Amino acid sequence: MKAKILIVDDASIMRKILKNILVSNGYDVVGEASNGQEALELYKKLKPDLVTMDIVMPQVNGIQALKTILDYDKNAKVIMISVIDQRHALKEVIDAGACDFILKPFENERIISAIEDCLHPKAKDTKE
Amino acid sequence: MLPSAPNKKPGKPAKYADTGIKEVLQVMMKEYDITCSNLKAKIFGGAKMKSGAAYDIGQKNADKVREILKYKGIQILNEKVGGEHGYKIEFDISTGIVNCRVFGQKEEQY
Amino acid sequence: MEINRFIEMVVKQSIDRASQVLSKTLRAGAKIELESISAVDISQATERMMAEGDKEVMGCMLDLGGDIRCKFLFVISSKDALIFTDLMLRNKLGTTEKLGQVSESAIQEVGNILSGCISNSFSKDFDISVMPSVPIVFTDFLGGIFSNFIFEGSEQEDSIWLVQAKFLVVKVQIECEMFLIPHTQSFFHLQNPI
Repeated sequence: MKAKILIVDDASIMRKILKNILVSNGYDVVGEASNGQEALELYKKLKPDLVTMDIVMPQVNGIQALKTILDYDKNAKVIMISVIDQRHALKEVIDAGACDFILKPFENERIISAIEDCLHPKAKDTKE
Repeated sequence: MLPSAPNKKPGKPAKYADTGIKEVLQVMMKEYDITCSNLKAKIFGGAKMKSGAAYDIGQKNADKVREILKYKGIQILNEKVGGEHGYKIEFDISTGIVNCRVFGQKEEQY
Repeated sequence: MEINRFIEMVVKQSIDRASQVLSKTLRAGAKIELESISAVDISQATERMMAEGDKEVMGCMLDLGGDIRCKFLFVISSKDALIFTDLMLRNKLGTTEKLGQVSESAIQEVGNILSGCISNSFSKDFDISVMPSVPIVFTDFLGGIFSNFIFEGSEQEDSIWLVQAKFLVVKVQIECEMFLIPHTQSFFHLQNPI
């Protein structure tokens, strides 16, 4: 079964680019949102397997939306895709529970491998 | 850029409607012996800024210009102000005709 | 206040990084030329622009905020914005024929990526936090957009710091420009970083 993905970015061209990459790699893009508020509404309605989330957006930014979605569903899988590569922002999103963080501009392969790692995390080695 | 100068002798008088117009009139008087009674005006511009606190500054500038011209007794023959886009004007000093094009619109004569 | 040499170097490095990021975004090499970085009289700044003031352009403007403040502007001719759109979408050149929502979004995203790169660069080199605001895109005469851009910095002062950089996307021979206006007071504490 195809994994269902919700794309969140205020730039329609980024949503289009991501959708093209995801669909051509066999994912099902079930929805698109242009700000954090819409993202939460669509998350509740569509129950996607994974969300890709921009950070700098109007009304509700991506970091706030990440926190709100994880408050709603602690098992939500959210990958941040953003232009911001700063220690404080990375720490905030990882502490908040984001699955991964991808810097724009990105290679298509990076997106796909991040999604796969997020959807199918490798079991950790444990010592008995 | 702004309607009123912060003091009587700003560093850049042309930046303000009040000191800018005053300076132009002084040059006309001094260099060409032209007084306000010889002058008529046409005004253009004053579009809205795209964002920020200065959003309405264009309207304020236009209002200030009208106020100053009225005070000086200079008749405004024609005007095209406001909107949300830039203006391009060509003033033919021999005929007094102004060709004005607002971005996205057709050129008009004033 | 003159621009400190250290700040000048950081700005130059950030512009270099921006050209690499632009190349990666467009999958086309972009050469960068830093035209100027100096304190300029606002009359000089506008005079330079007014020479091409009636050029029709698309501009993306935003603010960088946080530990420092800076205004950012990216401009490209309206005609070339169509080519940028095709490059970003990996379309055949000439596919995008009219300006509209897609090309606006393309310029918005280029502005977002370049400003993000600049803010990341400042963040690393000065060890501070700087975030871009949501970009605003508009299509207008270059003179109008530039007046809007310098307004805030010029309201209280008669001179501004102005950084002007020109990019040339080699494959399609397109020029575009980026401007920064660092807010002098917010950069003051960076003048002596040690």
